[in-house]
Formats: sequence, structure tokens, C-alpha cells
Amino acid sequence: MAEEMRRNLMELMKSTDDVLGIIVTDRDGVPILKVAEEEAPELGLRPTFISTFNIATDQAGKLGMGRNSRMVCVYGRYQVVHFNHLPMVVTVIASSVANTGQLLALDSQMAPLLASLTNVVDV
Amino acid sequence: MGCCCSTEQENLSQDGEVNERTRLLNDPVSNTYQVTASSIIDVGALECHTLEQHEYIERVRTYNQRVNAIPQVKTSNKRHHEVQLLYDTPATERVLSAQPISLADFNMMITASQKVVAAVAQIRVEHKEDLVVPFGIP
Repeated sequence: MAEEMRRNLMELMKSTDDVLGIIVTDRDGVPILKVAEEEAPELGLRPTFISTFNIATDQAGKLGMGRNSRMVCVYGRYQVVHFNHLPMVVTVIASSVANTGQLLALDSQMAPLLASLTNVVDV
Repeated sequence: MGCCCSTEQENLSQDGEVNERTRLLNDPVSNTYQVTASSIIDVGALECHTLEQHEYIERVRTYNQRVNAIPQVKTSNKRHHEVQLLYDTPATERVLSAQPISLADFNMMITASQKVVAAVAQIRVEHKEDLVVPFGIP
């Protein structure tokens, strides 16, 4: 089942243009499922980078507009999209020319996969 | 200790220890304070919890075990409109080539369910007694 999940995630990554990596982690950035191309920036897959989203989403939820669900960070060569499914976090790393709307739509495509992983992380 | 109209602040002990001036009941102001403290955005005081190496390895191992332990079970409790992962059904030819139910059974199911629907539609509440009953009044 784990292998099928990884294969499913790999197919999702390869079928979306310019996506370099998809990683499902807990709030501290510890990976649960990870697929990445060789061109993916290694620093972007580390817990130290992914765990910053946990802090940012907590603070963003205090701005009076409800819970923060997604965050898009665009850099020079890459863009990173985070999805808040606490206690899980999904991070998608793509090149800066990727279609951001298409990356955001990956959320609904990954919903059944994330539903299967509900009991993996302690709340 | 001030009176109702006093504008002086209450003198609490310096160490915050319980003394004769401490409130007995929960202070509603403290609840407001707690709500405010959780709502405040204090970027300077953000915690940066870096994981220890052994803790990281332990968690990775735990998650791998749990992910590998996820069973390949058909989740029939999900509603039909919810998207699910595809599950493999082994020996599909055996399922597809099985004998279908007979026409008599099928008609019986249809008739029975129509009768059930009609019976449920006829459920009525019979008004026997008053809903509000005065009691204990001489």
C-alpha cells in the first residue's frame, strides 16, 4: 500500500508540468511520503525549511480571516506551495515558471491519498 | 483593597503568591487575557523548535511503519460522491461471471421496497393528550 501511494504521488508529480517534488510531512517537517526529481532543490525538502510553514500558518490564522489553508512562496528559480492539512503539511516544489493555479489544484487531487494517511501522524 | 467606586488598583503580592487579597473565583479578565495572548502575533517571540537527530530518525521510522501498515481494505463507509483511491479487486473474471440474481428475486425486492416507502409515508402522530399539563396548582 505504501508503494502504491508513492507511485500515485510520483505519477501526480510527473503529470503536472514543472513540478519538481511533492512531500507530505508532519508539522515539524518530518517526511511521511516524498517524491522528488533530481533537479529539486535539496534545501527545500529539509525539515528546517518545511517547519517554517507551521509557524507562518499559525500566525497567518490570527489575521482575522480564519484559518490559513494554503501558502504560495515564489522565489527566483522556484516556487513552493504549502497546503495546511494539520497535523500533516503538503509541500509542492516547482520551478518559478510553473502554473501556480495548477499547483493549487493538486490539493483536491491529493485528497484521497491524504485521507488514507489520517492515522499516521499523532495529532 | 478598594471600594466599588475606588479607582485604585488592587495590591497583589509581589511574588504572585496566594494571599488574603487573592480572588477566590476565576477572573473573567484573565480569560480575556488568555484569548488575547493566543491571538497576538509576536514575531520576535516565535519558537524555533529544531528536532534532535535521534528524534527525527525515530519519527521517520514510526511513520514508515504506520504507512506500511495501512491495510488494503475497501472502505465501504465512504459516501459515493467522495473521491477514493482505487483498490485492486483480485479475480475480477470470477466476480463478473457469477450468476446474476433471478428476475423473481429482483421483482420481490422492488415490490417490498415500494411497500416500505408507502408504509413510512403513512406514519402519523396521534394526538392523545395535551402537551402542556398544569400540575401542582391548587
